[in-house]
Amino acid sequence: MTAETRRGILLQALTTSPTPVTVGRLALLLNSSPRTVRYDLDELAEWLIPHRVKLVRRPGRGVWLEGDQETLPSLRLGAGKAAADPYLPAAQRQALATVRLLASRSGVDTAELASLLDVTRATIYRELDRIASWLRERSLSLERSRGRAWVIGAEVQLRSVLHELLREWILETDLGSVGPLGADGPGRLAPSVGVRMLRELGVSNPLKLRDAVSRAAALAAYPLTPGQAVGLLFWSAIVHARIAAGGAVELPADTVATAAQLPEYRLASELLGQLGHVPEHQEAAFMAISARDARYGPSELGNFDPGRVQNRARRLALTFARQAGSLIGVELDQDEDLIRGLMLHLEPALDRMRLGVVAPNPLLEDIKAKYGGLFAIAKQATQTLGDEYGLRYGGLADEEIGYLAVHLGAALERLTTPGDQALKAVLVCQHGVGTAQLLASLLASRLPELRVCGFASAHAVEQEASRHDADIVITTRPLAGVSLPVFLVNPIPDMIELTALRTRLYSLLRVLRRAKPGKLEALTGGASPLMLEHVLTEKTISLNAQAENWQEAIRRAGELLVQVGAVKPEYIDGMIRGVETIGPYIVVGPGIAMPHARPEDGALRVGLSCVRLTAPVTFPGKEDNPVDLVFAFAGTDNTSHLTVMGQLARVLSEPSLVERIRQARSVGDVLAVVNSVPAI
Amino acid sequence: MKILTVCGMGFGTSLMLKMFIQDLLKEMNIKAETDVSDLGSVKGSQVDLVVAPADMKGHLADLKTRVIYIDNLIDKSEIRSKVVPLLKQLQNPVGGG
Repeated sequence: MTAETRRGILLQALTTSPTPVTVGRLALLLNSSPRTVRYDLDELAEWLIPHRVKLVRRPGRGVWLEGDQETLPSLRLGAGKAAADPYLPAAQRQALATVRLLASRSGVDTAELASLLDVTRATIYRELDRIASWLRERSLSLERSRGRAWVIGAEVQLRSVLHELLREWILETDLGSVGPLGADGPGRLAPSVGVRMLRELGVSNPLKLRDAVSRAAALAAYPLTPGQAVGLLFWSAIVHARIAAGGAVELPADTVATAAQLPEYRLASELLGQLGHVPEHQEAAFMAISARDARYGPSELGNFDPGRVQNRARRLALTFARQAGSLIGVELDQDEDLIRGLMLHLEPALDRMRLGVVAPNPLLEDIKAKYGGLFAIAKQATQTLGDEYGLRYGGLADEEIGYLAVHLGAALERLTTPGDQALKAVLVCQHGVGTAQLLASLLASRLPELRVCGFASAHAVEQEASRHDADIVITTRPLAGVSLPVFLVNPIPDMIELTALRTRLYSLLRVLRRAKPGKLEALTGGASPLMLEHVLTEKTISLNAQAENWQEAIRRAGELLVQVGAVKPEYIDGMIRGVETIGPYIVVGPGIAMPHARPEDGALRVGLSCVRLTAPVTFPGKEDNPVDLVFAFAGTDNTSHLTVMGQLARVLSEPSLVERIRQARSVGDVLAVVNSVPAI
Repeated sequence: MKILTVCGMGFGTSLMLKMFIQDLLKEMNIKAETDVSDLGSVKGSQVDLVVAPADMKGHLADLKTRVIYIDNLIDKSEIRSKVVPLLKQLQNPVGGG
């Protein structure tokens, strides 16, 4: 990075920050030493003098600008490199390089990628390896030969990965809607990564693309929703770029036939025409399904009116909710939040199934572990949707069912959660108050268990949070040094992100219930029992413990329970006494002992520890069965530990899982086993 | 039908046994009540079948009820092979043969 580029970034950081910035943070931003930053600040201060702007530095507070702030946005640090080769963080450069790869016809020169990624030719291969593995997770493969790199994979997959990238990095502001912050507007010293991504796809002016979308909607007499318009912008750019690169989708004939019946089909045909392409059936069908997805899937910005749309989406949602409800034994079809959530998810999911596209669900394993029972119920309930809705295509992917399970979990929580027991959140938004309000209303409409109680800048989070007695912080940019749980979201989160957020909120609700009995005492365990993963944690697992005899083995395991506050020290004696008086039946299987005592022997709460001995010990009367795994547990009554015991039994009765614990190289390996066991 | 699983304290091993047996009942589509008990209370209970760890043979020797003893308490196949025949027998007391 040149000195000029660095100073350009410093100036941008200082003009946009509402509060002083420390030299340490600026150094972090530039990835350079504080000393370099100080030197750059000296130069910058001098350069600012003729512009009547003063650069102030105060030890302990940081750096800020004083003077006529209005004129600052128009400042340019000379011509040259700052504007032509703007600095982007590594993650953004990688995303940008991936977009270039995905949009190319015949691959990209690795030297060109090296310069884009800002790495030397010597290290470009490591960077490409990283991109390759990211693509591999999405069923695409990065090929390399003779100084070029290119991506191979199904066209539909290529496009959906491009969509994922755009959705992640492009902000509303990049699309030219907010005026002064728009593409290359006066507020920016350099185009943002979103703007540059669009350029990679051949879109130099997003406003023109916007016009094309609105014209197509007018010609097709199709009422676009605001969220759908944004989604279509993405898809237009993607389809345009992929067709230009010679890519063509190949959808099954019946998919094309189904899509041709959609109201979005005409819109799609008009849009392709507006983009200058022949609206042939395959592409029009793809665009139509994408348009539908953009309407009922991602951001609709909270304007959804369930009463108005008595359509297929609602019928599907009601059918599913009734069926799931009858399987669980509760009435769910009255829960309008659930129906709305399902409407936004179920129909697009069925469309995706027909397209053969799987929406990635990074939380799938988590959901299966936490909501195992609900997952099974959701799966069963989708069967009732029947052939009419296309389940003959082989049923919904687990990824989709995972989301449905979370919706069900949320509905069950609502049955037991009084409305005023919602989690209170402070929202940190650095894209302006307008975006913050938008995000707040979006969150409010999609996450009834959440209440946005205030807005704050990144620097005043703690004060604002304590003023409102908030439980969590939701932010659009990474935050450091905040004591509350922090949730990072996009300024315009899509359905998948919202569902992910919801899953995490529920985990938190559970934790809060235990941690803050005063605050959330009205909530009972009901739908979310205490599970194995809550009690068997890294603090209660010890993999290389040493014990001379069986008593010591029990002590090692018991000490872990004492350390986490699950039992009083005398509980350990209780466990040893149990063996002495009743016998060694706690040696339950080959090499496995499960010592425990009665609740009244000093149990404080449900607890479980796992100790793996480096050398086995034998118990009296069980000399033929040396023990190397000791699971000590405690419960406060006869039922609180039921789920935990059930899950532990599942692990222990599965020899392959026991073997994984025996072979575990780290506590993490054991936790992976723990997390793989569903609740029922 | 009522089945009782037993262990020393009535809330650890017996719970695990009870769970495995519930799995079996469900699989065989048999309706039965299952409960857990500690050694002290088992003698007073009116049940059709008791399932207990093999180590407790000495403690349960004078029990009138039929007792199944399990050696490896986490081996579902052992539990299955010992419990299933009795469940069938209890379900059809007349016998089939």
